[in-house]
Amino acid sequence: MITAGVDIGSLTAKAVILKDGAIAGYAVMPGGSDITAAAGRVLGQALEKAGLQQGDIAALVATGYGRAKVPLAGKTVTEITCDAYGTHYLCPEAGMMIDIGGQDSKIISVDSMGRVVDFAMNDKCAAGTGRFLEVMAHALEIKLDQLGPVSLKHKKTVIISSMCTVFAESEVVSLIAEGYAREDILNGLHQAIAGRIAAMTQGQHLEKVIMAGGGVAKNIGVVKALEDRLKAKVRVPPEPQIVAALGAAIFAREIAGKENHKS
Amino acid sequence: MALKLAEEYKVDGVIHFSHWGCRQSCGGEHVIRDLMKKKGIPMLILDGDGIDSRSYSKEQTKLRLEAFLEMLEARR
Repeated sequence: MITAGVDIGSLTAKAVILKDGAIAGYAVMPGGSDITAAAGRVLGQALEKAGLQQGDIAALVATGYGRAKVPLAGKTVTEITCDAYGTHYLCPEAGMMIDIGGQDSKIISVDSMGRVVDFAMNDKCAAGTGRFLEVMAHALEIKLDQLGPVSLKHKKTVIISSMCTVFAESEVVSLIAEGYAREDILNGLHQAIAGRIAAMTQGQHLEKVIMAGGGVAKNIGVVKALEDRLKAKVRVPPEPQIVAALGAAIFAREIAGKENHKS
Repeated sequence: MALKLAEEYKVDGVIHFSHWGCRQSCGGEHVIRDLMKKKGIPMLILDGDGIDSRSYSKEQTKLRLEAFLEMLEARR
């Protein structure tokens, strides 16, 4: 059976094609302002990679903040439930999932069956998210994919007190003016993000194995800072951005399976 | 009291609204949360302001509520 999951996030659109329980193809691309068009594009690319046609899809589930605007979706499910499904598939031993996306972050406790036990998410603010790091990368004149590796070379501890994207940027500019090294400032930023995530995990049972997803999980500096702060093993799947889309495709398989059973 | 009510009504979950600046609701949420956790009753805490809507985010509130309902559904 072939099912699909489409995740329209704040900055990127993701699609996963699941064929008989295995990932047959996926795509990640910038979202843009037209959600419906982005959904069509990302699904088309994932299908192309899988060598399949739209007509082959038995069920499609949409998730993410733009989930209601995906025309082909038979059902919409929140990214919190989808993240739990995706985590269970990719890393069944993980009891917690940290999803740091473009504009928000979520902490989800997952049970051994992939069900959500508890969750927390940030408020209306891009503090400590992907967008936050994009702004800081710009201020430090460094490529996004180099933030992690460069920060690991830090020697001094710099404390960034502001987590607001606007204020932290001016703090970073001041630190540059004071002559601090880029790697030290970057490490300070990553530590600040980890501190914020750690504060969000309060009230939930801290697990020994945690899976990280979302674009920021690609940043090794943030992942290491999270491991230090949470005293846990943080695993990152090969493509952390598609966890929710994968979860949506798994959800679609469950729906299609039930319908087949009925008829 | 909250626990008695939860048991009397055989609730699937609890939604607690914490009003900003209200010491009773913001302070009490952790006590209630811990109690519900012991009983295995899921709880969602929503923060907000009944008068000042400037920090209200409709989508995020909707997402929290939808995800909470999906979570309760999966437990059935």
